[in-house]
Amino acid sequence: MSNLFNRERRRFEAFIRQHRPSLLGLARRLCARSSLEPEDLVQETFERAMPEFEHLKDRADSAAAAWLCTTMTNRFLDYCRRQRTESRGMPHLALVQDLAVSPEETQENWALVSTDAFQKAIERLKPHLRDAYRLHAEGKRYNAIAEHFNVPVGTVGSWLTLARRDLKELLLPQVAVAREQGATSS
Amino acid sequence: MTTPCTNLHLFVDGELSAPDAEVFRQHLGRCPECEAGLRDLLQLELLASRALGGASVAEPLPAKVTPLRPWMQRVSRTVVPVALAAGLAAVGVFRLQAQPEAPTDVWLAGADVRTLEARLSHPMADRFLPYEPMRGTSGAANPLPLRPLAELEEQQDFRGIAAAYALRGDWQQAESFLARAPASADRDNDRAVVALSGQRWEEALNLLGGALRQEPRHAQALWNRGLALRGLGLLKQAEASFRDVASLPGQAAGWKVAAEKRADEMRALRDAEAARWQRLVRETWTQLTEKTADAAYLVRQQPAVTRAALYEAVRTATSADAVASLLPLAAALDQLGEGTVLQDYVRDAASRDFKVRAPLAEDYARLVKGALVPGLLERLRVSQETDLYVGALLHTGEAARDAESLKALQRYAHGSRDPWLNLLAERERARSEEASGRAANAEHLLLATLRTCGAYNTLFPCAEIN
Ligand SMILES: [Zn+2]
Repeated sequence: MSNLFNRERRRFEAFIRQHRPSLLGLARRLCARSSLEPEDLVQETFERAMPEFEHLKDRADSAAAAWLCTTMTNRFLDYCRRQRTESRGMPHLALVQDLAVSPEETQENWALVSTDAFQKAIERLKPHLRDAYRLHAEGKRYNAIAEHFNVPVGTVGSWLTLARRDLKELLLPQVAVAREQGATSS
Repeated sequence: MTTPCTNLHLFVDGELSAPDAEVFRQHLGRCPECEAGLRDLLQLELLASRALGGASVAEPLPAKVTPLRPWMQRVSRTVVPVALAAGLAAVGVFRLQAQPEAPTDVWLAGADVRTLEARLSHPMADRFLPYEPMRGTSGAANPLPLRPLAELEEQQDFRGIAAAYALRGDWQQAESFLARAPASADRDNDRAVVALSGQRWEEALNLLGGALRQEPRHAQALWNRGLALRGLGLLKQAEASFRDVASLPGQAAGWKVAAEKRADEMRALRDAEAARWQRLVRETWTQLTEKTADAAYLVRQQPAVTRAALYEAVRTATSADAVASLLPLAAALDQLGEGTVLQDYVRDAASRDFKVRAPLAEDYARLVKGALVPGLLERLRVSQETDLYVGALLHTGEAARDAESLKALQRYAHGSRDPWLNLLAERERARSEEASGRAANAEHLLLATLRTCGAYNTLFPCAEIN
């Protein structure tokens, strides 16, 4: 029993170590200038993962990441709704948190996109969009990116929006392909 | 155009001012388009972060302590493997070093009554509180806080975790954590608490015996022993165990008073049961001697009382006819068990010489009513009316005090092949052991006798073994 216990524990630790940094990066942006602590948001997300770990641990990294992302988004949306109802003195709405997110059905599109596919997709962006998005993904703020390209800050926002639109268009057909391959190979 | 929807990307990128971000968060709560957009956007951003490694430059573990939030309580209502919680703790999402002491609500520090009758060894779980039997499930009302549980696991405090589960009535979890705790008197005590929860009295008693051999003055073990003995119907021993608890120095006054009260309750209960039994037997005996008894009804409704009354009716009858008239009743009682021991006894008694027996029987009747004629025991001992002698030994408790008397009782019981008389002889033997200061032997004997008695189902009044 103890061995099993320790093995499970190590697997969960590894799982957290793998996914925590990128989740925390997202959480910091969502929680910026709010009373919500990004670390709490991430912690709660992993707490939600505990009862599901049985299912999560054997799934592909992309699927696990998509599940964590959905769960964290739900937690965050709860927070937004609660803030809203509390600020208006309204009774609490039915919150997303009460709908358990099962690993099988969440974010089915994104769960199928690998990091390899993403790397190929970003290479196909127009150079200025690609470079702007890379800088953004490295954690650079709009004004730093604007300085780098010597363009107005507003332009950076437009470039990133375009980059995201193009990435989605490049990646979602891949999802369809991955689906078909999954269907024919199984 | 400045509808909030256009701010989604700026919001996700953390580029909005504080008031604008706040407005957008409120907007998010009611705009399905932005919600869908946010979900998509975050998935893409997470993927980018994983693919490009931007945010994954090694982050130092956060130094700030995250307070325990109410939502943790909600989360921990689901069954969460502690192994995983421990994993969370180890990675530092829970910051252990910053909060070395486990919050006390693990052990229901806020409670103002105990719902658990037994006592756990963990000091935090053994605070004295007034006992109130469980109403509803306290487990649902008091979910286990996760983080302290993970901390306890880190510290290998399995007994502490087991106590937390036990306080919430989750015996299975409690048991599995106790299995991992190192052997100790404390652990045996707690395992006994689990056994008590399942009314496995003898198992509990064995575990407590082990604990008390290691630590004879283990307050919790002595208390729990009282509960186990009560469960077995050994009220006298239970009383003694609670008195032992009350006499221990250096414990909370509340426990001392509670133990004293329990001991008194055990005595009162025992007295009440004994009085009730004696009253029933005497009433039935009176009906039998006055020939007003409905034998069929008595045998059906209260065979144990009727059996005891039959012995007394035979012993107090002053003529062969009076004894012989009890034969149908003896036969009916014999039919409930097996054999013919009662009929044999009635026939044997009817064949006695009543010129000798009648005066002894009359004095014996006075004893049954509570008055011991001086010298009666000695007159009976030297007479041939052994059944009267044995009856008098049982009434007076003499067999427990005098070895020769005990031998006589045992000899007679054995010769009669009457299982109930043999059980009573064993009871007297146990009492004599106790009177000689061998309490452990006495308890052992009583338990064995009770087990034998129980095997006869409701034929005998096993409470009388106590
Ligand atoms: Zn909107």
